[in-house]
Amino acid sequence: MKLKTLAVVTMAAGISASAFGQGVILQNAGTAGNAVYVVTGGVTNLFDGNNFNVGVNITGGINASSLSAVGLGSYSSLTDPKGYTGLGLGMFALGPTGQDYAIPGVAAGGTATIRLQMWYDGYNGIGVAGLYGSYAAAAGSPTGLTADVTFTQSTGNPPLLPSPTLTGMPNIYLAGAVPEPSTLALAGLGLASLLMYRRRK
Amino acid sequence: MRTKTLILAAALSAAGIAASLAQSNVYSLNVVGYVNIPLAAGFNMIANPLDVDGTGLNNTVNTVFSNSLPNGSTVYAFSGGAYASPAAGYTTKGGWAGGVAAVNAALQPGGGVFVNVGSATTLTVVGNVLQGALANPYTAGFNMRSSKVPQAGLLQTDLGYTPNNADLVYQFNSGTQSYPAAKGFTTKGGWAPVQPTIGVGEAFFLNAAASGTWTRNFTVQ
Repeated sequence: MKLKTLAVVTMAAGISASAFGQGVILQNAGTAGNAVYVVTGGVTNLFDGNNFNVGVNITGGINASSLSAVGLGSYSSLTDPKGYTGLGLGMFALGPTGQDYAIPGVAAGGTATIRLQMWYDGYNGIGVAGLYGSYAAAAGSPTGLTADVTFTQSTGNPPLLPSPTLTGMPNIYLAGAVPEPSTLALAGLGLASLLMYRRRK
Repeated sequence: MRTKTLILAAALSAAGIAASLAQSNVYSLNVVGYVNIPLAAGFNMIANPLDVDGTGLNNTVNTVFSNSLPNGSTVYAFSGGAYASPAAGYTTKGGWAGGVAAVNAALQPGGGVFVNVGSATTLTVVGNVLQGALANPYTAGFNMRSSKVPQAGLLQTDLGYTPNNADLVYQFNSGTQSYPAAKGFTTKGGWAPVQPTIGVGEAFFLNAAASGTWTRNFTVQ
C-alpha cells in the first residue's frame, strides 16, 4: 500500500514538473463529426480538400471572450506557407506540416476555446481559387460560402501527451448567407407599416 | 535459451513471420519477419521492433510507415523531456514533411513514437530481428522506450530490463486514449501493482529514477 502511494505521488510530481507550453496542430481528421462540408443548392457534400482550399481566421483563448490570433491568425492558399489549406476529403490543415501552436493563455493540458471563421475559396464547386480574399468578402457576397464555429479543444500535455489535432471541432458546414431572423422581422415590420399607412390614406 | 527461442518463435508466428534466411556459407542466422500493429483512431504509442538492414540505425518514416498511414497522420518523437516540434506529418499531397529527422531517430528498435491517425488502421512493419548484445540506453526522467526484439512479455522477467529503485512505467491505452495507473518498482517491494507486460510493437514511457542501459542479450538458435 505504501509503495502504491509512493508511486502515485511520484507520478503526479513527475507530470507536473514536466509540464510546459504545448498546444494544438491546426488540422482536422475529415471523419464523421470532425469534417468540413459544402452546402450548395440544398445539397451537402464533403469539402474537396484534394482540389480546393478554404480560408480560415483562427482565434483561441481560455474562453469565448478572450480570443486572440493563433499562428498567423488568418490562412488561405495564398498565405499558408505550404501553398494550400485543403488536405483531403473534408480536411484542411493550416501552417507547416506537423507544426503545433500554443493557444494564448491556455496552460499545457488545459482546455482551450477556439473560433474558426471559414470560407470556401471557390463558389458552388467551380474551381476559382482565391475567389474571396477574406472572410468578410465571402460573407458579404451572395455567392460566398462561410461558417463561423466556436468549440472547446484539449491541448498537448507533455511528456505524456503531445499536441493533438483539432479533435474538438464539430462538423463545419460552409453555406451561403441566410438572412438572420432579426432582419426578416425588421423587413416584416416595414411591410406592415407600409400597408397600414396605405390603408389610412 | 530454449525458452527464449520458443518465445521468439511464438512472437514471430503470432505476428506472421515471412521468411527465414540462411545461406550455406553464412554463419549468422538472419531472421526476417513482419509485425502487424493495430492503430486506433487517435493517439497510439508504438515502436518499430524490426530493423531494415541489421544495423539498427537506418530505419526511417519511409521504411517503417511508407505511405500506409491515413492522409493527415502525425508522428511525434520524444527526446530530452519534450516532443520535437514540428511533428512529422504524412499527407497524400505532400508525402512526409515536418520533423522527419527526429522521428527517424525514434524509429530505431528500442525507441518509440506517438502516432495520431484520424481513422483506425493496421500498420505492417517488415525487417530483420536484431540479435546479440543489444544496448538500449536511457536517461533519468521520461524516456519513450520499447523492446529491441519483437517479443511480448514481462518487462523484467522476459525482456531483461533491470529496474532502478523508484522507476515508473506508463503504458498508453489507445482504446481509451488514456493512461491506466503507472506501474512502479522499488527494491523493497518489487513491482506494484504488477510488473508491466509489454506487447510486440508497443512503446511505453519509462520514468527512470537514474540513467542506465537496458541490455538484452538475444540470439536466435
